[in-house]
Amino acid sequence: MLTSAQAAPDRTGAGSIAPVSPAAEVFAIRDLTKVFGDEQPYIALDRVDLTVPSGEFLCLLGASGCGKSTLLNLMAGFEQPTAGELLYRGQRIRGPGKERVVFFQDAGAALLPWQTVQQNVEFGLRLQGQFHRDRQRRAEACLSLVGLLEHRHKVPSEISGGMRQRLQIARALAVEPDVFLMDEPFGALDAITRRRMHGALLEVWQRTRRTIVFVTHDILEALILADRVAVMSTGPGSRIAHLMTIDLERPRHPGDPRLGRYFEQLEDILHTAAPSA
Amino acid sequence: MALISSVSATSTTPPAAVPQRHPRIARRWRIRLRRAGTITASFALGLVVWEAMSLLLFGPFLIPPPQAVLRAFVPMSASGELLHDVTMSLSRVFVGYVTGGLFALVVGLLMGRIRLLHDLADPVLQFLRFLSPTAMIPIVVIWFGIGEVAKYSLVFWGTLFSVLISTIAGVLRTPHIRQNAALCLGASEAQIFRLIVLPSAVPYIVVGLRLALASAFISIIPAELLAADSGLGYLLQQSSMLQQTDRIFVALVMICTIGFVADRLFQLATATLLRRYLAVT
Repeated sequence: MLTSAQAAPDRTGAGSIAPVSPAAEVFAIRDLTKVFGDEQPYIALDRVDLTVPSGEFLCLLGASGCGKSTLLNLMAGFEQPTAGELLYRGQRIRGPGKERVVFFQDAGAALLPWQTVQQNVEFGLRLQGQFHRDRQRRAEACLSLVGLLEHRHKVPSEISGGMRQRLQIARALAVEPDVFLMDEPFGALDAITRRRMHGALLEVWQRTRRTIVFVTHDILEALILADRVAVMSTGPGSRIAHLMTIDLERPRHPGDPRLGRYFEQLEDILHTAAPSA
Repeated sequence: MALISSVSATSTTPPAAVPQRHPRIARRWRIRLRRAGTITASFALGLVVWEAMSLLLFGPFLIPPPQAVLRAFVPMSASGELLHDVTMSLSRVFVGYVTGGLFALVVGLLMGRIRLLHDLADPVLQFLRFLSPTAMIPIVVIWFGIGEVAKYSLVFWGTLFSVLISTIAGVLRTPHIRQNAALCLGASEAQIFRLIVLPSAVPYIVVGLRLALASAFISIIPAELLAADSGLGYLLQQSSMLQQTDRIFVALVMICTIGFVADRLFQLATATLLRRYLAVT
């Protein structure tokens, strides 16, 4: 099921990302340490090791304040490591780049409220100086992939929260990123919409084969989505407490007893990872 | 009173009276009608209070009643005297406001974006802000004399601070998430400024410009009172020396009228031209 999924046919923006061998590591993280503040230093991450292979759907799971967003911001290039190594495709990360697009929970703030749905998708292409016709075609293809084509003339305030998240996905797809970095993107949605978004995201992932790093504090969400779950210990000085491969075919159902066994294991790990709680 | 009762009658019109085919349009018109009704009622009430103060409390010399002010207004406008003063005041407000607004906009955008500039300039800005245009008149008269440049610079001063402060706030409050999201999509510093920060700051800038417009109208009068040979402030000053309270009231009503109309035009223009930037998310 997964193996049959191939990159979606792409007529316009093809080739903007250099082809890489599937085995290559997207992220190679070694002894990564992040300390905030000078006078009263707070050690957010303490010697984190993690490798993310190409095309993987990885969930970073942990309680609030465990530093999972910090790790994601480092991967995005918004923050710089205090010590250790953080490589993206073998290169040091110097800052944000369009090969690593970040999704935010607050889509209202991330999108441009003064532009239509379509213009929002075209935004990244406009930055590259693409021609109007090409932009339009590409944006329409991305919008239909997330099922927003009929809403393309509306503005973000006129569509629902779930649609705004799908718009964020379409906007990212348009610039052909290599990696999606998602910071609890569906945390503010109601349970029903969130489940629909999981389906939509997995479909996009299976068709485009991007690498996804997905931050969440919801065990079930991680189990529904991930190839691998990285459990982070509670801060200060968070580390990757455990790495678990979820060896189940998709789509996965919350009622599946095998999922329940994974759930119990993860819950145990989270408890030992957070001794103070 | 009749007006007020008719207003309340409109608001309680049962929905059954509204044509069923376009309930939304009908509702919008009913709201508009009601608003027009309350505005008219408000002014009517103001006239009644004015008349009562004149007749019952202070007498027609200290507070000339509306009809006396109207009697003074007719010859003043027929001779072109009033038009001349209004034009002079308006042109001063216009020049001072446009130059002051543009200057403050540019400086405010730079201060909002360049941290060092903000940290160096903001304390002095917060310090100087307490000098009203009136406080600046004596020194401005020495610097520029009593010509037009003096008036422009006083209105400029009156416009400056509210536009500066609101522009800086607008730039600083651009959501970080929005800027970070644009960075991820490959935006350069210049693109972030032009395509993200500037549009995000529009609502703040518009508020600052609107406050400044009122402040520009307020600034011009003391300047013309103290050092001018034309304008509405000059008209006030001359009429005061001759104890012509009716002419003073004509000037006062004119100041209110042009300020009110300018503000309404400003709102209409910004709401039309910048609608998509002013919409709340």
